[in-house]
Amino acid sequence: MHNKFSYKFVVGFLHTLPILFLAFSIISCKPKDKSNKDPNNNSMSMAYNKGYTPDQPIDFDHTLHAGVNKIPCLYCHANAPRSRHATVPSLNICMNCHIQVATDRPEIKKLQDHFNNDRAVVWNKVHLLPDFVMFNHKPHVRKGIACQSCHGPVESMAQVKQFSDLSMGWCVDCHRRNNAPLNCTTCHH
Amino acid sequence: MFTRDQLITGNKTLEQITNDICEPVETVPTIKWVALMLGANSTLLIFVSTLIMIIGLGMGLMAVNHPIGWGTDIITFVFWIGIGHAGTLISAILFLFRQKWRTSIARSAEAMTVFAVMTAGIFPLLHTGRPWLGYWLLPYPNQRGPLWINFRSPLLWDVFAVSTYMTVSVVFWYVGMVPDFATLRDRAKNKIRKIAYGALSLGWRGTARNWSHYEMTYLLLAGLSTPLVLSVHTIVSFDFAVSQLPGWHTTIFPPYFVAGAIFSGFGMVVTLMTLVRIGFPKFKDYVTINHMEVMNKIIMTTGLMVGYAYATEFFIAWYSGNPFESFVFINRAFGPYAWSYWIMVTCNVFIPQLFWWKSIRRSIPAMFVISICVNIGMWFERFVIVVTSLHRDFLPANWGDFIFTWADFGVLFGSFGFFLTLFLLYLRLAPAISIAELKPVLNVGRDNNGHDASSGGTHHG
Amino acid sequence: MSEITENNQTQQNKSEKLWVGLEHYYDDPKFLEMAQKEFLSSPLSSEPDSEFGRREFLKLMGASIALASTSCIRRPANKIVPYVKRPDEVVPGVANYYATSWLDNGQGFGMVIKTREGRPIKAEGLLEHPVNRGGLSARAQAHVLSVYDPDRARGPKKNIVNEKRTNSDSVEVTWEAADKEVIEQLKKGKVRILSGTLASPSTESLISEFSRAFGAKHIVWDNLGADDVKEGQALCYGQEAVPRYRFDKAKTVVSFGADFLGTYLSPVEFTKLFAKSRHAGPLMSQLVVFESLYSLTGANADTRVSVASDQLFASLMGLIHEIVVVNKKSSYAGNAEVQKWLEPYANVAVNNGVSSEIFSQLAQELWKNRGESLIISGGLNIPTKQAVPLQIATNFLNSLLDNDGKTIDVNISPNKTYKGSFKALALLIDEMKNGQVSTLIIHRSNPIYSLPVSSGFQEALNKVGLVIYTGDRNDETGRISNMFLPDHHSLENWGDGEFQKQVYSIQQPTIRPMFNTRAFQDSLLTWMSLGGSKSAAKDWHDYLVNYWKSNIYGQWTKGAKSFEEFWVDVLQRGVMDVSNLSAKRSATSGARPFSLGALKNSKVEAAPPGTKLLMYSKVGMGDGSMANISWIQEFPDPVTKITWDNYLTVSEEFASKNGLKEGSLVEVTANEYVEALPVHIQPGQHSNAVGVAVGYGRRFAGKIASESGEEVSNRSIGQNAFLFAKLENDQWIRSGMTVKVTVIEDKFHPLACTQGHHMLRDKKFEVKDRNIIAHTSLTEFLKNKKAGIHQHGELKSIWPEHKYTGHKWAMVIDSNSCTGCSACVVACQSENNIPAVGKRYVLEGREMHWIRIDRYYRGDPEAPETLYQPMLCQHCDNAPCETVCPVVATSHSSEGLNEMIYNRCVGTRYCSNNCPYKVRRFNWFNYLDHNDTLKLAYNPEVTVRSRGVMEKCTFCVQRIKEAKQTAQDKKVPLADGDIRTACQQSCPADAISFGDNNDKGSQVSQLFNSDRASVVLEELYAKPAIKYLTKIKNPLMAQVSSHQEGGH
Repeated sequence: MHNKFSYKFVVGFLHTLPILFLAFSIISCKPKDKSNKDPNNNSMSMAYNKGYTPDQPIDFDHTLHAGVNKIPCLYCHANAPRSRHATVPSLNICMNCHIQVATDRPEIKKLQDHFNNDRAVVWNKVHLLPDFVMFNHKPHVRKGIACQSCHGPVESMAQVKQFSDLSMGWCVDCHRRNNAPLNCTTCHH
Repeated sequence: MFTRDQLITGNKTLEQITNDICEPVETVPTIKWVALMLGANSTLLIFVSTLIMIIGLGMGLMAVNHPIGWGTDIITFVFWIGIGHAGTLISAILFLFRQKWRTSIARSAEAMTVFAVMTAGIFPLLHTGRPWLGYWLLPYPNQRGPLWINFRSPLLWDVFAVSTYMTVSVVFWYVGMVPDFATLRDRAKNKIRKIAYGALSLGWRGTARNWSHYEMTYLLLAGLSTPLVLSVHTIVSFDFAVSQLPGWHTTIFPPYFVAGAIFSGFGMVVTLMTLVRIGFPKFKDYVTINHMEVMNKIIMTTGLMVGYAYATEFFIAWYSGNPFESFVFINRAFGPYAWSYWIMVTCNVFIPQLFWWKSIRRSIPAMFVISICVNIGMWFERFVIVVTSLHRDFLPANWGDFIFTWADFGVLFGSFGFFLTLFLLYLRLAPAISIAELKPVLNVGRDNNGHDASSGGTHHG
Repeated sequence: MSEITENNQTQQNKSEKLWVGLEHYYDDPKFLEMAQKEFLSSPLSSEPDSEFGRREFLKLMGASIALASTSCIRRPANKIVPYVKRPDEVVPGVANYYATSWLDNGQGFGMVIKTREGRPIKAEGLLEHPVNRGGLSARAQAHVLSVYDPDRARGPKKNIVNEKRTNSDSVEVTWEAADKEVIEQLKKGKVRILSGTLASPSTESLISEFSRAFGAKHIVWDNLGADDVKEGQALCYGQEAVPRYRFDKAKTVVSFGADFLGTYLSPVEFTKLFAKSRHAGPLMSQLVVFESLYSLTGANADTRVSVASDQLFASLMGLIHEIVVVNKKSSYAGNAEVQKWLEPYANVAVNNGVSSEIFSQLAQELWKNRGESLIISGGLNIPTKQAVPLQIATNFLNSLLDNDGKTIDVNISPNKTYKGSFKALALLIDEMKNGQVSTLIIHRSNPIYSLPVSSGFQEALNKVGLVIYTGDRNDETGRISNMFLPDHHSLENWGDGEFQKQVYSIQQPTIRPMFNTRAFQDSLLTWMSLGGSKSAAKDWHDYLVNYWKSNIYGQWTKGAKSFEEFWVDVLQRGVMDVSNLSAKRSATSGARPFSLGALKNSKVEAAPPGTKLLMYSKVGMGDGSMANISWIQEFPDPVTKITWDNYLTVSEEFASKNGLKEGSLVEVTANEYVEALPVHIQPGQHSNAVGVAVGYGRRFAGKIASESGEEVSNRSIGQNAFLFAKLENDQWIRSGMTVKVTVIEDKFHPLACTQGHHMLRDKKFEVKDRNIIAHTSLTEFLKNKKAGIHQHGELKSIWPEHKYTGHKWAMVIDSNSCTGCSACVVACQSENNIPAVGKRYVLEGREMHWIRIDRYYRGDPEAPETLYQPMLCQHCDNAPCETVCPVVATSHSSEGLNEMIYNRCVGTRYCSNNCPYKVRRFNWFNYLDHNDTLKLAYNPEVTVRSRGVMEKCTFCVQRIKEAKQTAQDKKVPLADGDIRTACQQSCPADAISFGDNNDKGSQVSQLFNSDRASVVLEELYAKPAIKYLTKIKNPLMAQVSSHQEGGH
C-alpha cells in the first residue's frame, strides 16, 4: 500500500515537469546568430541583439576604408562631434572620393546610380536604442572617447555588427567608472 | 468558569461525522449549489471581461482621475485583504488559545482567507498603468545597472507582506487538510479520485508518527501565522499612513485597520456560514447556532473598536489644529461624499450594536442581513478613506470629483464572482470541516455523554 | 562516450573495432563530434563550448524573466536613410533657428522659430523686437501647430456653387487651369480685394500695383478692429490713428472696459510694458478698471469697479466732472461750456451704487500723476453706441491730464495694424448689391463666418461674378466662393510687417510648403503677368527683396553697408527698428490740441432698460481663426478656466433671479437672433450685463472644431456669437443690445472647467483660511517686506538633506507681475509634446497641462479680487513623490531636479496622490498622435509618453542639457540666463526667472533669497525649488485688508 501511494506521490510530482519544459523552451529561443559564439557574450544580454549583423543594400567594407586606408571615422560620420547622431554619411560624402576612385566596382556602380538618380540608400540600422533613451554622441566624442570603445573594432569588421549590448547596465557601468553624470535625466527625459 | 453548550448537536457517532462531512464531496451536487455556481461563474465572466477591457484600453475606463489617483481598485484590494484576516485569526490565534469552538468553522474561514487574498492580489496589479510590467516591483537581477526597487515605498512593503501572508495561509490551510484528504482517498470509489486525493494527501498513513509530526507542524504554523494577522493589515495601512495627505497621514491607522479587518473578516465568515448551512443542511449540527453567536459577539466588539477609531480620528483632527486635517474630516462628514461616510458609520458602528440582543444574535436571517451590512460598511470605510481624502486636499484649485463608471462596478462585483467560484469549488472538492479536529471535541469517552444539550459538556474557556 | 573516445585515443587495430559507418571506421572527427552530441549533450553537461554549461544554466533561468518580457528575435529592423546631398545648414539632430514675424489679427509678433530637420517645432519670442520684446501669446505658440493642421487645404479647388451659393461641390483643379479662369474674369475689371489688415508694406505695394493693372480696389476690414479708436482720434485731433500706449510710463492706469492685458489691441506688448511699471516699491503703478464683464484686466486691477454696461461713458464723464468741476483742476476748470456738458454726470457714482470715495480718490490720483497716467477704453465688449463718445471722453481726459504725447504716442511710432473699417465693408456690400463688383478676392478674412445674415453680405455675393478665396481651408467663406486658391501658411511664406510705424519685421519661411498651396502674392504676380502687365519681380521673394532695397534699406542709416549685407542682417535679426534710430522711440512728443467740438457732440442717448448682451473675445480663441487647433480649444480661459466651449456669462444675482445654474442651457435672443447657450456664473460681473465670447461655432473649420469629430458638422464646438450683431445705420451693433434670456427647462450642457467652481458655492472653503498665496497691499508691503507671507518656525526632515555641489536649479515666479494670461501653458505644451485630451476627458479632470494657472477669488462674490498662481512641479528637495514610488521611476538629480522617468514608470499613481501640489499628470489612455501631419510638431528632444505612465514638468531639462553643451562647445562656464525654460521664454510679463541657485550672482538666487519670496505650503517642508514673490495690490482705498498671519 505504501509503495502504491508513494508511486502516486511520484506521479503527482511529475506534474511539475511542465515548468522544466517551459524553462528549456525559453532557453532555446536565444537568438540564433553568431553572437552566441562571441567569447565575451554574457547570456544575460540575450535580449539586446548583441552581435546583430544585418546585410546592407550596398556591401560597404569598413576593413577597407577604416582598416586599410585608415580613413578617420569622423571623416564620414562627420556629425558625431556636433550632434546627437553620428549619422550615416550622405552620398555626396561618398562621392567625394568615388567620383573617380574604384568607379568600376559593381557596388560603387550601385552607389553612383543612387547618387545620380537622387535615390537615397536605405541602410539597415545596426545600433538601435529605444526612443526613450536620449543618447548624444557629441559629449562622448568631445571627451575623446574612441569610437571603438562602444562600436568595437569596426575597422576590422567586413560587415558592421553590434559590438556592445548597449544595455542600460553597460552605459551606467562606464559612466560609473569615469564618474560621468549618473542622473536619470542624463539619458531619459 | 462558565459553561458552553455542546459544540456538536445531534449525538453524532464518529462515523456519522465522517459521512456527513464527506457527503458534499462524494455526492452529486444539489441544484442549489449548481445555481449558485452558475451565478458566480457569470459574475466571474464579467470580472474577466472588464479586466481585459481595462488592461487593453487603459485605466481611463475607471473613475480614477486627477486628483483622485486611487479608486475602486485600491479600495477593493484593501477590502478583500481585510476579509482575509478572520481566517488566520480563527485558525491560528484561537487555536493557540485552545478555543475548541473554532474547529467547525476554521477550515472554511481559512479557505475564505486564501481566496480573499487571491482576489485581493489581482487589484494592485490591475490598478497600475502598465500591469504587464508588474514584475518590476520584485527585486531581481537585471541589466539596468542594476536598478533596484525602492525599499522606502510602502507599496513595496505591501508586495512582501501580502505575498508572505498568502504563502503562509495557503500552507497552513493545506497542511490542515492533509489527514482529511487521506480520509477521502480511502473512501474514494473511483481511480481518479484515488489518484487525486492520494497526491493531495502526500501519502498520509495515519500512523502515530504521522499524527505527532502533523500536530507539531500545525502548532508551529499557527505560531508562525499569528503575527501575520497583525502585520499584514498594519503594513497595508502604511500605504496611507506613511503618505502626507491629510486624512491618510494618521498614526491610528495600523490598529484601526487590523480591528476593521477582523471585523469585516468575521462579517464575511458569518455570511458564508449561513449560506453553507443553507447549502448543506447536515452541517447545521457542526456549525451550530452557538458558533454563529460567538462570532456575532466578536463582530459586535470589533465594531465598537472601529467606532472608537472613527471618533479618535475626529478628535485628533480637531486637537491637532491643522487646518487641512480638520477640513478633510469636516468634508468627510458633511462634504459631497458625506453619504458614503454615513453609510460607513451606520453599517459599521450602529447596526452591529443590535447584537446586544441575544435573540438577534441567534437569529440566522438577522445575522445574515447584519453581516452583509458589515461587509458593505467596510467597503465604504475604504472608499471614505481613499476618495474623500484625495478629492479635496491642499490646493482648492485641483479639487475634483469621483464618478463611478461601468468598469468600476465590473471589477467590484466581478471580484465577488471570482471569490465565490473558488469558494463553491472548495466546498465541493475539499472537506469543508476538519474531520480530524472535530472528533476530539465530541464527548465520546467522557463521563457526560451529553444526551441533552442543556447540560452540555463543560468546557473551560 | 567512454568507448568511442577510448577507441579514438588508443590506436588499436581497426579490424577488431566495431563500427557503425565508414566515418566511424576512419574516425572522422566530424562523426565523433556528432556522436558525442547525439548521445551525450545535456543541459547540465559542462562542456566548455556548450551554451548550457552548469553555471550557465542558473543564469539562463534568471534571464528567462527578462526574456519573457522581451521578444527573442531582433526588434523590427529599423532603417537609416541619409541625405543624398545634405544641405549645408541641416545637421540631423541639431536645431536651426529662424527669425520671422506673424500678425495675429492686429497683434504683431517678432518670433524665432526652432526647426529640427526642416520642421518648425517651437515658436519663441524675438527678444529684440520692440513690439512684443520676446513675449508671445498662447495663440502665437499654437501658431506652430497650425502649420500641421491636417484639415488645411491640400491644393486649389473649384467650387461649383448654385445661384444662391447655398450648397457647393468642390473639385480639384490645377493652378494653371485656375489661373486661366481667374484671368478671364479679372480682365472684366471691377475687381475688389477684401482683406483684414495686412500690415505688410511690400504686400500692400504689390496690391496697389495689382489694382492699377486691373482697376481693382483694396477694402480693408478688421473683424476685431479699432474703428472707434480711430474715429475718436480723428474727431478730437483730426488725425485718424491708433496710438501706441506706453504703460511703462504710467503711474496710474484707468481702463474703461478695455481688456488691454487680455484681448484689446496688442495685449502682449501692453503686458510687457505694464509689468515694467509693477515693480514692488513706492513707485508701483496703480490699475483701476471700470467694466461690466469680468475680464483678465479686471482680474489684475488694483481696484475694479463693476458698472452697468450702459453707464461706462457716464462714469468716465463723472470722473472728468470730479476733476474739472469738483476739484477745479486743469485748464478747463473755468470753462463754463465744459462744465455745462459735464453737469449731467455730477452724481454718477450715486446712480451706479459705486462709492463716491472711489471717484474722488481716483480724481486726486490722476491729477497727482498727470502726464504719468493713462486712460484707455474700447474693445468688442463696449456697447457699440457708446464706443465713439467713450473714445472722445477718453481722449479729452488724457489731454487734460497732459498724457497725450507722453503716455500716448501717435507721432513717433503709432500702431499700424488696425487699418480696417466697417464703413468700408458696408460700402463694399452696397457695391456688390448694385452689381458693381465682378470679381471679389477674399484674403485673410472670413466674412461669411463673422458677419450675420442681416448684413446682406452673402446675398450680395450672388451678384458677384467670381469669388476667389485664399484662406487656409475650405471653410465658411471658402464653400461659397467659386475659386478656392489657398495661400501658404505664414510659416511657409515670405513676407514682412510694419506693426508700428517704422518698425519693419521680416517674415521668412521656416518649412517647405506642406501642401500644394501658393503664396497669395505669387498669385497676384502670376495674374498680373498673365494680364500682360509685367511686374519687375519674377516672383514674390524677388519682389519682397526689391521692395526692401528701394524703400527700407534707405531708411536704415545706421552703419553704411551694401544691401546684401543689410539683407543678411535683416534675416538674422528679424527686425529693423527704424523708429528707434537715435533712441527717439522712447522720447516724448508734444501734446496735440484737443478740439472741444468733439466733446460737445459726444452724447449717449439713454439706453432702454434691461439686461444688455456684450460680446467679447477670449484670450485663447480670439476671432476663431484657430478654432481647429486643439491647444487653443483646450486652453483654459484665464478668467473662467473653462475649455472647449463658449457660454453666456451671467452674474450671480442674474442667475439666482432667473433660477440658472452653472451649465444650464438658455435661449438667448438679441437683435432678432436666437441661439441656445450654456450659462456660466461669473462672480464680480455686473447684473445688468451678460457676455458671450466670439470665435466659436466654426462649422467648417475642421475635425477639432466640430463636436462630432467630422470635418463638416452642424454640432460645432460652441456657438457663433458674431451672428448676434446687426447693421444699424452704418454701425455694427455688436454689444449693448437688449437681450432676452429664457431658460430651456432642465436642459444642461456641461462646461469643461479645469478648476472646480465649488469654492464659490460654499464660502467656508475660501482661500483666506488656507495660506496658499502670499499677498498684501502696497501700504502693508512698504511697512514690512515680509507682509502677507505665512511664516513658520524651524522645520526639520527625517531624511538626510540633499547636498548640491554643482548646479542647483531653481525658479522664482513673481506673482505681482504675473497676469495669468496663460501663454506659458501653451508654450509648455508645445515644448514638451503635451497632448490635448478633448472636452470629455477635461470634464473627467484629466487634462495634461504641466503648468496650470490656479485662479483664486478672494472676498465678496459680488466683487471678488482675483489671485493667480502658476502651479507646476515644485521640484522639492524633500519630494514626497520620490519616497513612495516603488520602482524609483521618480528620483532626485544631483542638480536638484525631480526627475520623472517615463520608461521606468509602472503607473501606480502613488506619487500623484502624495504630491501636495497635485502637479503630476497621468496618461489614462494612449494620447500619442499618429496623425501623419500633426506628429511632425513633436519635439524630438522630449520622449512622447505612452499610456499608463506619469508625467510632469521637468524644468525643461532638455534645454538645460542643451545650454550646458553649448557652453562646453564654447569652452565657457554656463552663464546666468543661458537657460530659459519654455514658460519663462514666452511669459509676456517676465514673471518667471530660472537659473542656478548655487550661483550667488544669478538673478534667481537674488530673488530666491529676497524677503518677498516664499514657498507654497511651507509647513509640509517639501522644500520646493520654486518660490513665489508676494502679490501686491495697490488699491484706491488703502483700507482694503491685507490679511496678516503670524508665525506659529
